[in-house]
Amino acid sequence: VIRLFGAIAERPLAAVPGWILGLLAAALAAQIAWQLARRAEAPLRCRSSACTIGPSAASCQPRRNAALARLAMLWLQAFDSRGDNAIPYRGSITRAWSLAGRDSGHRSAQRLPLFAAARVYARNEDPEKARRMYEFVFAEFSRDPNRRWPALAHVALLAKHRLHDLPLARRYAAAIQRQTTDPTVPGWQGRWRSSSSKT
Amino acid sequence: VLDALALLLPRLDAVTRGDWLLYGAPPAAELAQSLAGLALYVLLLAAAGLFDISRRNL
Repeated sequence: VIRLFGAIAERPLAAVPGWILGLLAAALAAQIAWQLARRAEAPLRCRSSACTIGPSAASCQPRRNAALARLAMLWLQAFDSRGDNAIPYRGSITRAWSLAGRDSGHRSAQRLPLFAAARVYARNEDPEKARRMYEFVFAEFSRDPNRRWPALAHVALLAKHRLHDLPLARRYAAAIQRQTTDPTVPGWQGRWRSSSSKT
Repeated sequence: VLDALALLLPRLDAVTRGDWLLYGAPPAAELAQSLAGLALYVLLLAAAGLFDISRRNL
């Protein structure tokens, strides 16, 4: 019955116009070629054996660490932002940062922890904790000055306007001036020196 | 089997990325490349649809 029904319901292949067959074949070939060409960018299927043994281990490990670092940051932010949290900013940003593999070169995973350290955790009401966060940002800045200077610049502004500790702010500004080699980084030290001489 | 299926399906993960929301829009070239992949898939679907309709005994 099914065969009979199928034979009645479907026309033979020869009844399909040639241009439709041609279009289907061309579209299929183009799709496969396109996917093959972009295969290198596709997410890795990371089998557990491939992650621990063999030459692909090196390429799997940073990706796994980056995913772990993002998860840790999400958890940390959710923990600190929830309504019933009596002591905000208690979570350890440095632990999330160490998960990001600070020297692994996986820069997209590192941006969020450093951003959070400078913008959220460095605004702590307790000056001692804030200073600890400043020093953390300062220490991490010196590992990759050309990319991490915005975090230290923000911390320098906080040191100047929140803690009113101008020598500390100038120390950070001077470090940005001294350690960055990228010409697009703005000149901080000169401007701050002139502003401090005015005040 | 999964790899063969992946050749036929579009890369939707390339056009729904969370880091575009966090770190800003992608360069135009990267966006165009992702959209071109989707356009190719739409073309494949249209061709398959035409093939299917032209074989139906309506």
